[in-house]
Amino acid sequence: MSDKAFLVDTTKCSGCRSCQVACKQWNENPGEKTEFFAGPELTNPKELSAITWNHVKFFPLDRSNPEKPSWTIMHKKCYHCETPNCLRVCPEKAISKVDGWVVIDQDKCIGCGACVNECIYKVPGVAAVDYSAAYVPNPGVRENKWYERIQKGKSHKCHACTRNERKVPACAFACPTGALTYDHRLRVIRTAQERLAAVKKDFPKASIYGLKEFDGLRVITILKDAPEKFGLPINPTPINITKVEEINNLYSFFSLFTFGLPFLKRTAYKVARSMTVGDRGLS
Amino acid sequence: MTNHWIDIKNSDVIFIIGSNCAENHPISFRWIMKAKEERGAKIISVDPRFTKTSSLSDVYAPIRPGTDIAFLGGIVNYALQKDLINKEYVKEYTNMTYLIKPGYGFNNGLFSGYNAGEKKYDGATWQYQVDEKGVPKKDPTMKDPNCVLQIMKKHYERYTLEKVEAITGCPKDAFVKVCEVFCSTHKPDRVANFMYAMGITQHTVGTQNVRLMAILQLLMGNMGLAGGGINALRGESNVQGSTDHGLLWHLVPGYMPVPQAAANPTYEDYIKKLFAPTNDPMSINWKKEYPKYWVSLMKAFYGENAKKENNYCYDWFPKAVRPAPHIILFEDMYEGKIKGTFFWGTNPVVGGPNANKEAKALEKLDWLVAVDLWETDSSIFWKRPGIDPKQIKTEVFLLPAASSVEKEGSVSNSGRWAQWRYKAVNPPGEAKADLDIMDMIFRAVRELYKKDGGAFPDPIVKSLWNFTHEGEHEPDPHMVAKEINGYDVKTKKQINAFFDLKDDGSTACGNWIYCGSYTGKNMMARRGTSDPGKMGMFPEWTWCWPVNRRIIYNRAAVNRKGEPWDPSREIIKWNGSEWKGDVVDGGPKFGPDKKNPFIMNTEGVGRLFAPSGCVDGPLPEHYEPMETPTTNLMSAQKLNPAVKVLASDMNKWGDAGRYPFIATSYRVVEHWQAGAMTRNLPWLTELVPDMFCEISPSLAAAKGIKNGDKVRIQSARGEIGAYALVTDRVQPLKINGKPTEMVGMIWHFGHGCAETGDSCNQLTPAIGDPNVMIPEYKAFLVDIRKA
Amino acid sequence: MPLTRRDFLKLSGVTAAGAFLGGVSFLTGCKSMPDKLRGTKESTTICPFCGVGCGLIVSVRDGKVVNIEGDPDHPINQGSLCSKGSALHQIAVNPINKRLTKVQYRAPYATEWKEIAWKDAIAMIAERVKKTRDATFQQKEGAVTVNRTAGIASMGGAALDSEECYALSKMDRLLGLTYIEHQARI
Repeated sequence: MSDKAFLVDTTKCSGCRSCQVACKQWNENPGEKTEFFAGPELTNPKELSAITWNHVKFFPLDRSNPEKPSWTIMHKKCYHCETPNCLRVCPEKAISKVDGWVVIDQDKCIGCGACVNECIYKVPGVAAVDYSAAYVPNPGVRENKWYERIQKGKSHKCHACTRNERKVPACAFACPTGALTYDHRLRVIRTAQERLAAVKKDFPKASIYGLKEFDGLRVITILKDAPEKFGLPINPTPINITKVEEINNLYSFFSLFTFGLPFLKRTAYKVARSMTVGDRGLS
Repeated sequence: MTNHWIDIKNSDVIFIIGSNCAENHPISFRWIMKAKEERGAKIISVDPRFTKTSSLSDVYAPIRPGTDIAFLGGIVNYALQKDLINKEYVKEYTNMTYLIKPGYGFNNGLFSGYNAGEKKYDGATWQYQVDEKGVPKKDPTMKDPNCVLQIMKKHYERYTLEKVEAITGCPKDAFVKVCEVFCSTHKPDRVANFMYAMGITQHTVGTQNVRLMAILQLLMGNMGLAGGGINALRGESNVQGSTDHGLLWHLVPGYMPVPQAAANPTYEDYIKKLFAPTNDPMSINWKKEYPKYWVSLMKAFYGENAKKENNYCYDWFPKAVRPAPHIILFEDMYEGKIKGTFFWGTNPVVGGPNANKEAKALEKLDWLVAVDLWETDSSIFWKRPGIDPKQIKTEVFLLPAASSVEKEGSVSNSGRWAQWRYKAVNPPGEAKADLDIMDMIFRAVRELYKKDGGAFPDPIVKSLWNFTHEGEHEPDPHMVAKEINGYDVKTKKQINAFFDLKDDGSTACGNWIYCGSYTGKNMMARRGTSDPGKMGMFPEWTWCWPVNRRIIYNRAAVNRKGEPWDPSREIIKWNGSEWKGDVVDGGPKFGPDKKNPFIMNTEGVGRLFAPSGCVDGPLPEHYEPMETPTTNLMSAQKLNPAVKVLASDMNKWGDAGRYPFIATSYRVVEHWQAGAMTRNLPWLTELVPDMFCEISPSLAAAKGIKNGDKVRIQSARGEIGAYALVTDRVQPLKINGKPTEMVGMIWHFGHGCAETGDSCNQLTPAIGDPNVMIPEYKAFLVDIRKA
Repeated sequence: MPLTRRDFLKLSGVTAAGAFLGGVSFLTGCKSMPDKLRGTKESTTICPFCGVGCGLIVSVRDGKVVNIEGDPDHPINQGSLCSKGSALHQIAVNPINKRLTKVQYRAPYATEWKEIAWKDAIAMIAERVKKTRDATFQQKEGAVTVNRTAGIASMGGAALDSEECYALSKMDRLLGLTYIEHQARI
C-alpha cells in the first residue's frame, strides 16, 4: 500500500489556481460555465464537482490584526479519508481504495448519489450531463477510452492521478510556490508540524487539519487559523455503519429486480434508504 | 531586468511596487518563497489593493495610485537623514560627489531651464561642472552645496513623513516599516531587489518612477549585485525580444536610436549622436562602439549596397516623421493620416488608452491586415456593439497564425534569456507562422516593385532578404537567427561576440546585443543545467544577452579592489590580474580600479542626479496624475510640467466633482493582456468569466451596490458595464485628510472572443509620460453606480 | 530535439513508480487505464504568456497535442506552471474551435467575413501596400533625405518569436515605415 499524502500549506498559496487547471489538463476535464464569481471572493466555481476535482477557495480578508491582514486561499480536493464515508455507503461497492487512495469505479457506479450525500467535505459529484460528447479535445486519440469517462449519471472525483501513472500528481507537480506538495505521509506530517511552529509567529492561531479526521486524511492542510474558520469540522462523526448495512442489505434484495438498469437501481437505493432511515442522516 | 528570475532567491529584501507578481508573474513566487525560507528574506508589497502578492508579504503598505514618487522620495529622505546609505559604494560608483553647475535650481515644482510656452526644459543648467579636459569635477567631502548629495538632500527633505502620508494615503507606521526594512540593505552584506511592472511605468511620471527606484538601489549599493538590481517584470513572453529588435518608432535593433530628420539630417550627424565622447579616463563609455554596430546592421539590411561611399545606405533608412509612440500613432490614424495598418498579434481596441477612440481611428483606415490565432476585438472593430458595418469602409484581412507550439524560434524572457522553442505540431488548417506570412508579403511586394517600379524601390528590390533555403518555399527561422547573430561578410562565418564587429563594412549583424546567440551552434537551444557557485546563474542554460552576462552592471558587485561586497554573494571577482565568474561588464581587460562600472553612461557611474536622459528633470519630483481628486501638496505644479496634453475632440478630461473616485487598472492570473489568448480557453474562463471591478464595502454601501451586482462605471471618455466584487481588500485611503475611494478594474475584456465584456480602456486617458509617452492607465477618475 | 527520454520520465514518473507498473498495482474496483503518454513524442517549448519564460513539454501523438506540462529540467519553473501555462493545451487544441484555419476577408462595407485563398490574400495585400506606399512616400523633408512611408503603420510583436520580430523590424524599415509600435508601452 502506498503511504503517500498531499500537503496543502495555505501560508504559501498565491492563489494562481494552477492546480485547478493542471488537474483538468491531465485528466482532460472540461471547463465549467460560470458567471461572475461564485464566491466568496474570487472562488469559481462554487465547489468541487463531477468535472472539477481540484478547487481553490478564497476566503474573505481577515483584518482582525490590522498590522497583518490575513487572506486565506485554500486548495481543496478529495481528502482521501482513511475510513471514508463514501466507500462505506456505496451500495454497489464502486468505491474502493487503490494504493490508499479513495477511487470510484464508474463502471460500477449507478449514480445514486449516496457518496455525494455522505461526504461531509462535499467532494464527489454525479455528472448531470454527458460531457464525453460535448468535449472531445483530441479527436485523434479517441481510442483512449478514458476521455469518455465523464458520463451522465456517474460519480466522479479526484483519484490522486492513479488512473494515469505518474510520480507526482498533476496538481502538486504544477504548484509554483510549494503550497501543494506530495510526499510520504509521515514526512508530510513531520513537515507540517515543523512548518506550523514556524508560521505561528505570523499566525498565532495556525493549525493543522487532517491528522485524525476519519482516521486520518491523505491531504494534510496547514491553516492560518482554526479549521472551523475554513469550513473544516474537527473530528466529525463517521456515518453509522449499522444503518448503512441495513440499507445495503435491503438494496441488495431490491436490486434483484432492477435488471441491471441504472435508473431502476437508483430508485431501488432511494427506496431502501427511505425505508431504513427515512429522511434522517446516517451519522 | 538587470538580474534574472532565479536570482530573486539571493535577495534579503524584495520590494514589490507597481507589480502584483503573484498574479501576473506567478513563477516569480517560487523564488520569492525560496528567498523567504532560505534567507529569511522580507517581502514588501506596496499596492493600492491588498493583493495576492500582499497576502504573501511581510510588510504591506497601501498607496494611492499615481503617488509612487512621494512614497519612494520619502524613503530617499529617510535614508539620507538617517545616513543609511552604502557610503563606499555611492562615493565610488555614483555621481554623488559630482558638482552640478551653479545655475541649477528647483523652485516650486519647476527645475531651472523651463520654457512654459513649449512645456519643455533646457537642461543646460543640469550639467556637471567640468575641468579643462572636460572631466566632471567632484567634491569628495560632499560639502559643496552644488554637489549631488547636497542637492538631493535639499530636494528630498521636503518629502517628510507627514507629506508622504497626506499624499499617498499610506499610514505613517506602515511607511516607516517599509523604510526600516528596505534601508537595512545599505549594509554590504544585505541586498534588496526591486520588482516592478506597469503599476510603476504607466503614469505621466512613469520614467521618473523607475529612476527613483534606481536611485534608491544606488544609495543602498544594490545595483550589480546578486539579489539586487532593478527588475522590470515583462508582461509578454517576448516583449523583451520585440523591444530588443527595435519594433518601436524610436529604436532600431540593439537600442540604437532611429535617425530623425531634424536631429540627424546627415550620416555624420547621426554617427556623432550615437556616442557622446568623454575624456574621463575612468569611463569605458561603451556607446563609442555603436558605429560598429550601426554599420554592421546596415550591412545586414542592405547587403552589398551598403558601402562606405554611400555612408552605408544612410539615405535608405527611413527617417522618423515625428515621435510616434502608441498615443500619437493612433492620434494620426484618427486624423486620417495613416491609410493602411498591420496588426501582428496585437489588440489595441482592448489594450489601448481611450479605446473608443482607437476603435474609431480604425474606421479611418483604407485597409487593415491583422495576423492572429483567432478573431480579436480589434480585427472585428467593424462589427463591434453599436456599430453598423455598412457604414465602415475599412477593408480587413485576418490572417490565421500559428501558435507558439506550431513553429520554431526563440523568445527572450525578462531576465534577457533567449530561449529556443520547437515546433511540436503543424498549425491548424491553413494557418501559418508569422515569419512565413511576412516573408510572403514582402516577397510579393518586392515582385510588384520589380515588375512595375514605383516610389524609391531600391530598399525593397535590392536589399538582403533571403531567409529561405535553396529549393524551399518557407523561410527558416535558423537563417534569421544567424543573420541576427552576425557574420563575416566575406567568409560568411558566424561571429562569436560583438567585440569582433567592425565599422568598415566587413561584418554584418542584425542585432549586436544578440551577437553570440547563434555562433557555430544555436546557443539559445542549450540545456546545460550546471550552476557553479549555486547562485542560480545557469550559464549553460540557453543564452542571455549581452554576451551571456547573467547580471548586468556586475562590475558594481565588487569594490575597487575587486572583492565582492558580500562574499556569500560572489558572482564575479578580480584576482589581481583577471576576472572570474560571470562575464564581466565592459570587457575583461580592465581591473576594477581602472574603470567605472556603469559602462553605458558617459561618466561611468550611476546617475543619482541625471544631467541628461530625462526631459522632465534631473531628479524625480512628485506631480499629480492628469486626473486627480486632490491638489499637489509638494508644489504649485499640478501635472508634470513637461507633459504635453493632446487636443483632440475625443480626448476629454474629468474632474473630481463629476468623477469623484480614483480608478486604476490591472490584471488577473487567469487572463493575459487584452484577453484574446485566454478568453477562448474554457479552463480559464471558468475561473474568471466576466469583466469585473473591485470596490470597498464602504463605497458599495454608499452606492447601494452588493457583491455580484452589475454596475456602470463612467469616465469623461466613456461608460462601461461590469460586475462588482465588493471586498475588504480595497479600502478608502485618507488623502490630504479626506477619505478617498477607489474603483479597481481588470482590462482583459472586449467583445471579440468567446467570453465578452466591456474594456476598462474605454475609460482610460490618452495622455503619456513626456519621456516615452507611456499612457497613464493606472490613475484616472471615474464615477460608479448600480446598473 | 535535445530532450532525452530520460529527462522526460521524470515528468511522467514511470521510472520511479514501481508500484504502479505492470497493471498489478490496481486493487479492486478500478481497471487499468492506458498510459496517457505512451507512444508520444515530446518537445520542449517556452510559455507564450508572461515574461518569466517557463519551460514546458509538449507531448504529441499522431500529430495531435495530447498533453502540455511544465518542463521539470527547466531551471526557472522546475516543472511548475501557473493557471495560464497549465491551460496552454487549449490554445493548441481549442475545444470551442475558435482557432482560425482560413484567411478571412472583409470587403469595404461588408457585414461578414468571407473566406479567401492565401494566394489571393497575399496578392491583394501586396497591391495595397504598394499603392499606399507609392501614394504617401516622401523622399525629402526640406533638404533632408527622409525616404519614408507615412501612410502605413505596423503594430505588435510582443507575441512573436524574436526571429519574427527582427524580420518584421527589417521588413518595416525596408518598406520605409516609421509608424512602428508594439506592446512595450501598453
